[in-house]
Amino acid sequence: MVPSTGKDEKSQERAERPPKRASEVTMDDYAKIRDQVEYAVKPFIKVKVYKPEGIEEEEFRALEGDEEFEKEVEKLASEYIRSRRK
Amino acid sequence: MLEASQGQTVMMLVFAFTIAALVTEKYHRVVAALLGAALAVYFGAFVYGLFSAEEAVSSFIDGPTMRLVLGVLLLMEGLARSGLFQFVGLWIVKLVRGSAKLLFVSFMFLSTFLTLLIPNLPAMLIIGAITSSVAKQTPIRLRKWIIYEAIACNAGSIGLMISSIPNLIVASEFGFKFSDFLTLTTPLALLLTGVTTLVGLWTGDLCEEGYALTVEVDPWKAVRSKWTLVRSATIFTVVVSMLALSDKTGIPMDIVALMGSVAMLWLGGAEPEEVLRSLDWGTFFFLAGFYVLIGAEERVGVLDLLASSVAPLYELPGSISASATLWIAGLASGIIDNIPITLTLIPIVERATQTVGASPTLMAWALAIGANLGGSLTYFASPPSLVAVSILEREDRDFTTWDFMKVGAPLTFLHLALADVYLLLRLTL
Repeated sequence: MVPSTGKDEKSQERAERPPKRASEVTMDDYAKIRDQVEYAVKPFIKVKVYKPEGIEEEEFRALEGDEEFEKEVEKLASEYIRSRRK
Repeated sequence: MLEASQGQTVMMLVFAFTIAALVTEKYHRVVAALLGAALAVYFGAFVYGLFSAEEAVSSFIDGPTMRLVLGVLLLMEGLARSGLFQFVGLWIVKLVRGSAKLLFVSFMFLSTFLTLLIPNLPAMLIIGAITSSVAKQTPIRLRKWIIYEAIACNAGSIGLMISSIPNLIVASEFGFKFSDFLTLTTPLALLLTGVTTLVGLWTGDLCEEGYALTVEVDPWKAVRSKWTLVRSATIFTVVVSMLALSDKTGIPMDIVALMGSVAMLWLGGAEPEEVLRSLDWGTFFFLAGFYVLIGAEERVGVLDLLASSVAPLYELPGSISASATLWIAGLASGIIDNIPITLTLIPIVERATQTVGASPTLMAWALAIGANLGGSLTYFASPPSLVAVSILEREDRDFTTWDFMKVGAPLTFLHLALADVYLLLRLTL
C-alpha cells in the first residue's frame, strides 16, 4: 500500500469537512493562540512519541487526546525528574 | 419604473449569479466576487461596450477605501500578534478568580473591546482560545460562553470606524468621522453587550458546580516580549488618535492608516513576513472584486432600476425607512457576507434617497449597524459565529449548530430592535 502524503490527507479532510465552517488556516491560528494561552495557564511541553513494536497503529493513535494517558505521562515526567535530581 | 435593456438584463444576471454563488458557497467568496467582476467587465466592456475595461479597474475600485482597509488590516494584525489581548484576558482571569459570573461579565466586555480594536475574526480566536484554556482547568460551560462571546463580538463590530469592513466602507462613502462612531455606535455596542450579558446571566448555567480557579495564571507567559507589546500598543494608540484627529490635521484617514501600518511593520516587533502571511488578503481581494461588479452594475444603470423599485420606501417618514433599512441589512447579512450587502445597498439607498429628497445619513447608519448585527442570526453569518461553531465542534463533542442558532437568532432580533429604537431616539429626536 502506498502511504498517504500529508497533501492527500488534507484534501480528503477538506472534502469531508462540512461546508460553512471557519477555514483550516483560521483553526490552525486558533490552535497556536490556544497553546500560547494554555501555557500561561498551565505550562506544558510537546513530545513526539514513536509507535512501539507490536502495537496496532489505530490503538496507538487513539492515545492522542486520551486524558488518562496524559495523566500517566505527567506522572512519569514527575517521577523521572525526581529520580534525576537524586 | 424603468425598463431594462438587453445589456442591463445580462448584467443583472451576472449580479444574480454572483449573489447566488455567495449564498450557496458553491465557490470561495473571493472566487465568486472575482468571477462576478470578470463577467461584468467582459459583458459590460467587450460585448455591450457600456464602459471601458480600464475604467473598471481605475474608477470602479474605491482607492481611498481600499487603502484604508489595507492599512487598518496591517495595523491590527501587528497588534493582534503582540500578545497584548492574550495578556489582558489572562490578567482578567487572575483578577476575578473565584467568581464565574464576574468572569463571564468580564469576558463578554473583553470580546466587545477586542472587536472594537481588531478585526472580529482574530478577536474571536483570542477570546475563544482564552475561554477554552480556562474551561480545561475549571467547570465552566464552554458552549454557553463561546456562543455568547461570538454574539458580543458581533455587537462590538458596530462600535468604531475601524471595527469592521462595512463601517470603513460606510465611513469612506458618507464622510463619517472617527468621532461620529465614538459618540453614536460605541455606546450602542456597549449597550447591546450589556443586554446580552444580562440575558446570559439570567438564563444561568454558566458552570457545572461550585466554581473555583485553582490554577495560578501568569499572564506574562502569553507575551513573547514585553518591549514588543509596549511598542505595538503605542503605535496603535498613536494611529487611532491620528485617525480621530484626521479632519483637524488634514491628513486623510487612508494615508494615516497606511503610515501606521508601515510603523507597525517596522517597529511593532512581529516578523513582517509573518504579518503579511496572516493578513486577511481574502477580504481585500473580495472587496476589490465586488467593487468592480458593483461599479459596473451602477454604470449600466442596474442599480437605478433597483433604486427606483425601492424608492417608495424612502418616501415614507425617515423613521420608518431607516427601520426598514436596518432590518433589511440585518436579516440579509444573516445569510450573506455583510460586505456585499453593504456595497450593494449603499448606491441603492443613495439613489433612492436622492430621488425622493430624503437624508441619506440616517439610512447610512441604519445600514452599517444592521449589516454588522445580522452576524449572529445564523452560525455562518459572520467570522465570529463561524469560529465559535468550529471551536465548539473541536472542543465539545455534543455540540450541534442548532445550539448556536437557538441562542443567536433570538438575540439578533433583540439587538436589531434595540438598535432601531436607539438610532431613532439619537438621530430623529
